[in-house]
Amino acid sequence: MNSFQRVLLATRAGIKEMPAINYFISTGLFLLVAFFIGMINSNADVSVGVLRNQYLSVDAGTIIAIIVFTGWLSATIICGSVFFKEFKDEALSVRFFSLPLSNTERFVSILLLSQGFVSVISFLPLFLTTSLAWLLAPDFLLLPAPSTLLLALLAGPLVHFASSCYWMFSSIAYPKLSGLFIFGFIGFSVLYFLQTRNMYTDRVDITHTTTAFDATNVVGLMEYEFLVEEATPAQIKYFIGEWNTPFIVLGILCLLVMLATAAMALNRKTT
Amino acid sequence: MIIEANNLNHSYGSLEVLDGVSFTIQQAGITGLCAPNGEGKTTLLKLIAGLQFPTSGTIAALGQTPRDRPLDLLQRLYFLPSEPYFPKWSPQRIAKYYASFYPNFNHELFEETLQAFRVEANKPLNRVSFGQKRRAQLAFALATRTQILLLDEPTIGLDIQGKDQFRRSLIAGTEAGQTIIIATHLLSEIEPVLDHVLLLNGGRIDAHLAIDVAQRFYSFNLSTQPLPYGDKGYARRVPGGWLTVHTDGRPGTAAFDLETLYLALTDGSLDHPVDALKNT
Repeated sequence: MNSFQRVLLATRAGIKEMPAINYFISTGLFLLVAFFIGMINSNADVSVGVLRNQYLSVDAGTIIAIIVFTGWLSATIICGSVFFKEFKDEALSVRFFSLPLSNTERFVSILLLSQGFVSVISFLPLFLTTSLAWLLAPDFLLLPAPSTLLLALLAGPLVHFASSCYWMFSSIAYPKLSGLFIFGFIGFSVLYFLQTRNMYTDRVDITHTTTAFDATNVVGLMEYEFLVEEATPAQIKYFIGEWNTPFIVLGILCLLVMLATAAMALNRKTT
Repeated sequence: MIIEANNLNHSYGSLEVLDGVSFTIQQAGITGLCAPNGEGKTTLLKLIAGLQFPTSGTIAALGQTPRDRPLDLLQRLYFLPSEPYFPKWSPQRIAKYYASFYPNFNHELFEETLQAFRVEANKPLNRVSFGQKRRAQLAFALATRTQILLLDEPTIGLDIQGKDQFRRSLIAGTEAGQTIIIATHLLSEIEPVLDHVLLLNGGRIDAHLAIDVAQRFYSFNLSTQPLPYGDKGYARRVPGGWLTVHTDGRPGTAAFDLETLYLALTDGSLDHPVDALKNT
């Protein structure tokens, strides 16, 4: 049996070891989140949620955001239950992690399983669910066409890859510090999004004060005009002008660190 | 050299479990690894398997360093923990998915052993008793036919027929060139098939005896009275009197008893064959 066959067979064994519930986590989470968002949905064009028995319109961006979030959460739960637990119990396991594979083979197999297969079962069902819903939706439910949601199938696995490289492999490398890694990751993410919110949102927050009309960065508001909403289109759009920016350089550096952590984690055995 | 350990030390935090363990296993056979609870039997097996790393010292199995996880070694070594974490599949399915990773896996032996152990090949392991689960795991371990087989408390959960089949499989394994190390407290259950015994005490190897040498070196007698004061032997209370062990070459009338010898050696009141040779 050559190296390629061993990797495939190990991945197959890893897939078979997964409990059936793993295949339904993402869909369950998605339906749950979509249900509540559908209930409380209230758009600027005064369309309201199904609670008020009126039509509901959901834009593609919202659906993509829900798919990415619930798919990522599902992938994190699956990887957490499968990999973290089994690496901790590696010395007791007679299964995927204990199979006689070289370090490289095991690394490739785990990547195939955690990034490939887990991504597929976490994100694809959501895309298929929304596509099916778009086909079968009643008249009062206006959903985006599946072709507008394809971005989720790219963005979701990328988010999962970046986050799992951080917490999963770090936890494998240093199991006793796993809590620190996980909460550190959550804290860092919150901090990062708070600090960079203006980079990716097309809205800017304006404090609701009587001096709101004096804001110089608000387009289209004059003293004598009627204030329709507090958050108005901002001048800052999300785009990267040049590749040679600190953002990209730091991003690549982070990716390299994540991959190094992954390689280090998967070369170790129980200490 | 099949296994060679030099001055192995291992500790869990401040708790030192192994302290300068050195031993070699040069040829195929069955070695019993005996130690009081918490003295490092499982740790030593994990060090040999590369599942834990020694704090200091070196260990080599089949000429390779286990902590490096060389593929060649992993394919020729199988470690069955005392409480393994098997998938909840049927034995047949386990063999289907895992057997191909072990080049010498013997499917016929696996089926034969399952039959002898009276384990249903198609029944998932989460629907059988602890004993059946344990027998299925053992059958898989025996069928891997790896050159080194490490078994931690393998006889737990085996009934009398199961133990008999287990011993026969072990003998067949050694005849096929396997080196088997069995960590156990239940010495009497594996005594008939042992070639060597490793006695671990206080974090060190207290004795590494070949059974045939030990049988010649130690004499066992059944006495109605405990040892007189000054007698350099060991006596153990047994039904009908005292079973005594001596190293002074006196003729023995009772059968060789490994458990009594283990107690005598951990008690520290008997010479080891090597020590005795050194003294002469």
